[in-house]
Amino acid sequence: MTRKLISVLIANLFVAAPAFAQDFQLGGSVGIGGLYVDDDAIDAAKLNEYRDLSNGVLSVIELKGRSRNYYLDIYGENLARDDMFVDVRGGRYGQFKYQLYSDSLRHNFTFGAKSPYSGIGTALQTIDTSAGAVATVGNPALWSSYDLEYKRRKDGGALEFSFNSPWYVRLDASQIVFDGNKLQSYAKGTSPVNGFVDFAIPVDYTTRNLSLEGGYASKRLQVSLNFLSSKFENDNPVLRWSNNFFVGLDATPLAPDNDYKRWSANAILKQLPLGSALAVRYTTSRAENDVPILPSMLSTGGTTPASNATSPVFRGDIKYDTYSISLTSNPTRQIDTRLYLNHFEKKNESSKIDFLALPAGFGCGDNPQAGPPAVSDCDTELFSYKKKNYGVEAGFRLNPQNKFNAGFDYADLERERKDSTETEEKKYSIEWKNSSLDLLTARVKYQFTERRSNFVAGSLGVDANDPLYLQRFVARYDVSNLDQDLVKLALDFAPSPTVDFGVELNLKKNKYKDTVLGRTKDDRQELYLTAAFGDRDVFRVIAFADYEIIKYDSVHRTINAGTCPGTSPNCFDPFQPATTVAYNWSARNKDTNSSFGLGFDWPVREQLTVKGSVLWGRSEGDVAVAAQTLPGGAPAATLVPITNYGNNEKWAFNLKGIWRVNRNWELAGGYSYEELKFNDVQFDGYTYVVPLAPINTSTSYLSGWYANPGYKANIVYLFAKYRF
Amino acid sequence: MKRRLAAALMSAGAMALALVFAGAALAQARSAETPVCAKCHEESHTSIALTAHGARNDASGRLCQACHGDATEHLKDPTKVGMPNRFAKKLPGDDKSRICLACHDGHRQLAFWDSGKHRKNDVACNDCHNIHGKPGNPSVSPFVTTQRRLQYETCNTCHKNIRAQINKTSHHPIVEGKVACSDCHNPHGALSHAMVKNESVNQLCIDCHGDKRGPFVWEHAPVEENCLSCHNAHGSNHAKLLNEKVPNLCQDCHDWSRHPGTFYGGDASFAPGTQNTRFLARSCVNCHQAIHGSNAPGNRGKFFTR
Repeated sequence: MTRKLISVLIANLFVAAPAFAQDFQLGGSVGIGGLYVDDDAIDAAKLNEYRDLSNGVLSVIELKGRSRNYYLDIYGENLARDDMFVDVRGGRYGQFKYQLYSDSLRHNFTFGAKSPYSGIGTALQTIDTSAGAVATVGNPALWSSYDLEYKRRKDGGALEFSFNSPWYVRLDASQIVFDGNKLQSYAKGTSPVNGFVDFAIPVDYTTRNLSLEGGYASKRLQVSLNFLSSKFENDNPVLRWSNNFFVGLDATPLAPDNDYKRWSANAILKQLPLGSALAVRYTTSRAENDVPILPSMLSTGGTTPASNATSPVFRGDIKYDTYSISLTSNPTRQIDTRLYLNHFEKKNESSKIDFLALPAGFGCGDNPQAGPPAVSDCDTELFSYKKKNYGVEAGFRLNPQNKFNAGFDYADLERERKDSTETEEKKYSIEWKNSSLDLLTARVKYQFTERRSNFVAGSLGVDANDPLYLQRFVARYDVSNLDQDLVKLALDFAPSPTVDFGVELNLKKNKYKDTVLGRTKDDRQELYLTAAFGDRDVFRVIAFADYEIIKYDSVHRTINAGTCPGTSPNCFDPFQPATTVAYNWSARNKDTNSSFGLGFDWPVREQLTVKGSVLWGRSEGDVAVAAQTLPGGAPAATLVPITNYGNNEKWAFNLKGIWRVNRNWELAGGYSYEELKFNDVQFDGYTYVVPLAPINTSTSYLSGWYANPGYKANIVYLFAKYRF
Repeated sequence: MKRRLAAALMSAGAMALALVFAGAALAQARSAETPVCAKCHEESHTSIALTAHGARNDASGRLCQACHGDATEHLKDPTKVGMPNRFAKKLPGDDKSRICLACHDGHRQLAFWDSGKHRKNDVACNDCHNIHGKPGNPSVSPFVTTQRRLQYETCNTCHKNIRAQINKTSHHPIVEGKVACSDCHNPHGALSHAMVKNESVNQLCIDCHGDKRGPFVWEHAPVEENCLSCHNAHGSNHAKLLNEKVPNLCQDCHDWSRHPGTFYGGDASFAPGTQNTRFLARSCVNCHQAIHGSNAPGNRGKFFTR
């Protein structure tokens, strides 16, 4: 800490140096004020999610200095608060420039979260796992309370030298520190009915980045070479926690340390024939780590069978290589073109770790051995992929008021994956921009995307009584065959310099072709309206309204058994007639979002400005569902639809007055009101233990995260600012 | 808290020290040259006086004319000869950008301007930048503790769909002033899709989210390929910026016997007698927490339950 303070002081004295220049002009302001928040919330974390709304002092310092040769900008706000921001920039034109900054942020998840564990937020969290303690542990009235939150702070700086030449060298350094905890939850046993536990895991992360760049930048030619080194460190590599289902101390590996290095080279050549510019980029990067593998796992009765890893240490090594080429041309004033090629390759050269001969409940079914005891292996899969993408775009300006663009983009992706190893995607687009009418500009674009993948799971499973057989019919939407239609329309209407209207309409429809099980369709319909009116020096108001409907359609298969019962043969074939044990069901997820905003700036008189805004948003989600019908016509199951899926409504109202007392002094005061209503079936009737009865070793322990995110808040603030 | 306060006070003290030195310099300072244009356009001159542009101006208004055009005839009789508006809305973007690029072309930050979407879509420098500091549209946002004019308000004037997304309940702290559009995108042009600063979306995300960087013993394939398969980086109504609620998001890829393929409906939450840990609270992630990758042994790692 002392070293940090000294460096801050030195930095500030350094920045004072240009002040000695005789023509140096300085201006700025210093402000101080207070904030008072009165909230009505069971859990005010969502209100304070990214803001420090604690009652207290607000501050701001702003300094701008210029001379013929030097410049200096200092900005600091919310000093000593959890959302403090400080930025110092300066330099000598054409010679050098520097920047120092510090940006703090808090991320609040839940206030008053609960846990039966000791050591909340640390790497060792324990409960009494004896049989006699189960009831006590499962009594939330006896649990401890804590806040789920972390603070993030980024400190950094940059220094660049160019000494009035096209050559430059630049150094950037930053450190990002996370300090606090966040929610993670883990299964207690090996089946969903064995329960789970919410934990506040320790978050003590530090990422240190150092980047060095050198280059040459002129109007005709730019080349640069950049090296980045980024190290991520987690002070807590493993969370150890008491597991009263297996009766012992369990372990969960947390985010591993890693070391990331990247070299990148850029070259841009301009003023080529036909008004062309050629841009080339090459990057090569590597993410590496060494992670000790847990030598054993907690099992039934507190036993700890060995994990039988083929290596005690995982050596992570992932290499990324990319290159991009882009040639843009303007052969005439009316025509512009762009040709491009991108190549991206991820090579996973990590050590392949397999886990051999694991007992039932821990094996993965690879290479099964009948035993006794029955054991199987777990074979890891190292994922690599390669993507080639090229395309062409052409624009033709018929006249200054009409421009047409057309484009074709092709991507070929090869990957190592069990369901699909290659995907081809083609995009065709056309666009017309028109500004023939003096007051109106319109833009309409249509894009068609065709994606086709090969599927290599077509022979999985012995027959339709084999669970693996079902995978022949599952198409994962990120690779499944797809036809996409996208239409965008944008209108801007400005009947006068002080009035303008904007409309944007986006329609996107995805049809997942040939999909039997999985997402079959999704579409988005989005409408955005904006209107602004008034002279900024007299009265200016802006209003907007947004409306979105997003739908996802999908088909799935329920099989309520591990193997096909006699009453439901070939149950893993979705084309079989439905039975009450095995049936298909279809769902439509729908989100409807609306929002409205209004804001105004009103310079009431020379000394007084009033600003205000109101922002409202509502979202509603639901899921309609239907089960396949039995041969007799009745549905195979009674499925209850969902009518409140992430429903919420938000209000935010702001009113602020700024009084310029005189040339130097300014007073501001404001009031804000905010409200969030939240209703989600996944949190309705929230309880900290599940099930409520019986309380046993399969009971799940929940923290309260998102149980009560709603709030109302009144916010009042006053501020005095001195300008010089 | 005390140490934080001490740091803040010492920073403020150091700045005050700088101000003292500056004050001394101020006492001796000469006025920078005032351009002839300021005789009528004083407000425009004042707005740039303490900026990089203003500091390089001279009595003839060299810098004013660099942007606004030759003023020789205008100066002879300003009432009769006006200046053409070289930044009129109707003019092609390239014509307007050319004015700024006359000086700024060759800057490192503009290396990929020609390859970028903004140039292609007729966006000009003055669509985003306003060197005379004219006020923008009124701000419409929840209360924020920052007094800075935030970047997203400029970007949203065109990117209206993004305006809707960043105001949703789950979002990056863009509205709060902690993440700027330019933290992820390069508005001056980039070779990557959507002008993201890095080579790919994943490379961009792991710049900040180092805990998701891995490498992991067990990888989740769609995570390795594209974070946007599951997340919407700008904002979503679903927790953790997910595109769709869990379990539906997961079930769109995963179907198997028993719980992966089972529909969980309105009767599977906390209501007594029907509580189902596969649906209530965080659903699949209640157990399958390590969804971005795992280093746990055996099927604990393969199924991301540790």
